[in-house]
Amino acid sequence: MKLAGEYRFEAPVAEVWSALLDPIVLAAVMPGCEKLELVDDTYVGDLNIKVGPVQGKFHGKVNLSDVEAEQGYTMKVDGRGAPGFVNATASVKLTPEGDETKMEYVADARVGGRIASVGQRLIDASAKAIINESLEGLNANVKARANVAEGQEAEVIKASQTEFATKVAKEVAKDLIPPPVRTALIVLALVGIGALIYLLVR
Amino acid sequence: MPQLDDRKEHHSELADGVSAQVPTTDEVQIKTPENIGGMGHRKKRKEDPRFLQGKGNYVDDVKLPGMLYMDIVRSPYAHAKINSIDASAALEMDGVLAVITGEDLKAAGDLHWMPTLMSDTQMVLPIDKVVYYAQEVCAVIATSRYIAADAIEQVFVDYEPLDAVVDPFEALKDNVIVREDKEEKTNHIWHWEAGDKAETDAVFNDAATVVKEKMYIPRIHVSSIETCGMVANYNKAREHMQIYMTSQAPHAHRTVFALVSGLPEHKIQIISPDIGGGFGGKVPVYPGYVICAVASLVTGKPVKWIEDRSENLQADSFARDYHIEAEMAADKDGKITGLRVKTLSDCGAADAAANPSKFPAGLYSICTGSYDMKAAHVEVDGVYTTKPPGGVAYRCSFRVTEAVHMVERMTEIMAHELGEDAADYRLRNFIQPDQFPYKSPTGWEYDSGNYEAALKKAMDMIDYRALREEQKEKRAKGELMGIGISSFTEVVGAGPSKDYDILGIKMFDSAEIRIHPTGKAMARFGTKSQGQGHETTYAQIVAEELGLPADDIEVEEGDTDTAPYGLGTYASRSTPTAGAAAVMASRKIKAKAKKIAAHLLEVGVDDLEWNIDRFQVKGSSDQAKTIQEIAFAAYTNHPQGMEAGLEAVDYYDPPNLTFPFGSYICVVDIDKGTGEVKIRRFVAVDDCGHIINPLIVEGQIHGGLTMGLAPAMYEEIVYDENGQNLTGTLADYLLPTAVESPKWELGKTITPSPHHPIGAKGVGESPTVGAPPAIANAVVDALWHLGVRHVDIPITPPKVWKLLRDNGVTD
Repeated sequence: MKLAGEYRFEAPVAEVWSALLDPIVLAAVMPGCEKLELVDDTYVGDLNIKVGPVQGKFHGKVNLSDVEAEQGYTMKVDGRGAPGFVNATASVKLTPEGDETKMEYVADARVGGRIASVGQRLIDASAKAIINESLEGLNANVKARANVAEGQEAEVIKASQTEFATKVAKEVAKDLIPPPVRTALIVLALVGIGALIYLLVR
Repeated sequence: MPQLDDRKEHHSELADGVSAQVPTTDEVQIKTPENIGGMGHRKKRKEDPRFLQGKGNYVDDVKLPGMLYMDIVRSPYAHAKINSIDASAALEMDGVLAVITGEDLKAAGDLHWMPTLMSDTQMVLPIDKVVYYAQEVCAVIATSRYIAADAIEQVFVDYEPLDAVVDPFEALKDNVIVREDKEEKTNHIWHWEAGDKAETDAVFNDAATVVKEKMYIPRIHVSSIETCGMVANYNKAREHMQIYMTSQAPHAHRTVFALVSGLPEHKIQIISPDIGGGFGGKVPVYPGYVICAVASLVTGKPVKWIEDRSENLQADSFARDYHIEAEMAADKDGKITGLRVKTLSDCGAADAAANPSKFPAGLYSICTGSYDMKAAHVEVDGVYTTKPPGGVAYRCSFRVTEAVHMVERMTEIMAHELGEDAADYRLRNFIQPDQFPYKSPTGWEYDSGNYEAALKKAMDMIDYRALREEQKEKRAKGELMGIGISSFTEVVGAGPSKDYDILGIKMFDSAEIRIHPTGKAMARFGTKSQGQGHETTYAQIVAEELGLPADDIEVEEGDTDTAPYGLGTYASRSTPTAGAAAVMASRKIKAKAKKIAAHLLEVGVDDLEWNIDRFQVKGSSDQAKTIQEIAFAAYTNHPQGMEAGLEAVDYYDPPNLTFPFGSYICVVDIDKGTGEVKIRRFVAVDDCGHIINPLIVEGQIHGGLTMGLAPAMYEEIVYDENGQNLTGTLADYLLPTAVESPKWELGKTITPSPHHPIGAKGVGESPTVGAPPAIANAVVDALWHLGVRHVDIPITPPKVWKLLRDNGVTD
């Protein structure tokens, strides 16, 4: 499975870079992350992943290489658990753009086990949702960090499971229903609800 | 062949001596009145009341006091080294009693390996590496099913991934060796051929037209409604192992268990209760069975193991997976002269196919089908890959489906290439009725057939010529309509003991009939129904022969303690073998009944004649004794010097296989926008010889056609390049339901088997074999004018849409 994309953080590159290396922030923003610690040069943690009907805990290691401060790194992820395994290599590149920071990422992941055989149709959507949710969480945190006064500690903003579930549903809908139809469906649904309310209150 | 001659002598006075060809008819023969319900009556199935009320008794219904439950930890990798297995967290859980690993089985007497039916070996549980995705790694034994399921998630296995080899052509390069336990470090398992190579090459050299095509018959799964499972109940005090098991061949399994475990065979009882569909998938011995039996042996308690749906789809034996390269030759008149076939059989990580021992590629050499040709040569190579082992005969007689698909596609291609009508081309290339018994170029002796009659009937039923006219008109308007034909020949009922055995056990089958004093009867068989309706059809055979009402005959199968030894039910063999044994046992009983009747009527045996349900004095029908009166006398007033009782056993070794056949015609319309194939009509004319119960035969054909539609349009087990199964649930592994199934229009011709005692042939599998090429031929027929020569099954909308796009029909 190949994933690629870019994201714009509303914070300077220094904030983004430090957050990207901070296990506490990362743990907070990744949906399902129960624990993330830096042990020697390796991030070690537990991640609860839910893909369609399959869910379970993955125990994973993340190694960073080619680390170039405020520019990017390559990370190797090795996660295993009862639902299967994930092996991934991802490279992350940061470019400052004024007060904002552009992030580009390319990842190649191999997913196996029950999570792949049972959740096949949902893996792409779930992976995209995990990445988007994490990046948005990260953005909220770096924004908060950039805005706190000198000497004060920024509060870590945590990820919400409900929001994550909505995101997965959105990603699935994107894959299944082409955009014009989707808009039409939403319009139809709104008209239907409107009509229902009208009938009820009449 | 002394054995065969012995058999003939033994049965000579019982068989009617039919061996001449019997002309084809289309009327079902009925000789008994409805209250007796012998052959030809549309009797409702005796087993249905319990099935329809949810009162069947399946393995998962078995609940024994103190029963433990097993669940299996399976590999997430297709190929990986096992560094360690840490079961400590699982063992700490309340209710977890044991975790069984390969090391444990090794210590228990090298039980970590087992033989396959093809004399290969297969891991029960691995010690150093796994060789396919979802392979059994270790098993948890717990006090409840739920605890067992939770506990498998607490077993931590440290794998070191190795490169997988998924493509059999890649496997032949031996860059990755699947079976490092073997002496020879190669993935090539066996090479097998049939037919005369030199003669075939000569025919091809002289050919006016040669067509060539590559096709893939994809890996599919039987996906029976009931998954596999077992309850093993070892009684330490009695040193007795009682096993409830989803088994199509309980006796053969008992012998295998005795040989593998070392337990004495008389201390093993295998009970195969109601079975929710077998289709070949319940013939092999799976690792789960062995582990479950060992678990009971070790704990001394009953242990239950039932697969879940995904385990069943991912780890149990697959079917098909043949990569075929075929060539067909025709002379200047367009007559088919030869067939040359090379095939790669992807066996997975072990050769665990369910073929008779001497046939590594099953009966694949039947591939010249219904066509008379001078020469044929077939080569097949077996290859290991890092995928689950298997190669079962999914509702067919050992690779006949692959053979029929290939020859029906090739004949179709040849007809199109020569610009001939597909039906007319078949009619002039068929083996003709007067050529039977027909010796095929690959060595088969077809017992009987009338292919022309079946195809002509199908053409009449569907109004073939009118359809061709309609197709012409539609094509002029740019609409895509196709007509596909399949005129298949099956080869079933294995089989004569000189050629057919499984692990050395000859493939006869058996019947034991006991008539009780009140004229009711118990009949037991070595086969095992999985939905075929044996309880009804066997009773009808006995009713036909002995005149006892079919409703007065209780049919029992599946308990090795009570049933006579037999090789089980698969390959449409029940009627050809055990059905024939039922006839022979009945005739043995009848011979004794005649003596008792003579004694009762105080006449000589030769003065009596049989009349439906009684012996009567010739020319004086009021002097008669019914079979019920005779049965009572057998226990109350039997002649001096004669053994009391009225019962018989027969072990029937058929002199040849039977060759059911048929012609199917399918009409499809293709949606140019979406590539969706709609089956507008499907006519199926089957010939299975004399029909025992038309209702059951029609039911079998309906089910079989739907199971033929499945691989033609939906089913395929898909792996990614790492050997990861991508079709692990029924959401991705697609099965047709009533919604997807067209209306099946059935017709029949009846060409009795000349060597079977009641002229029957077996029918359960014909439609599964015959349907896929009819559908594929129809699709190609609709697209041929666009330049499409072949499309591999399953024919999915994306596949057709891509063909349409590539040929400029849609964008």
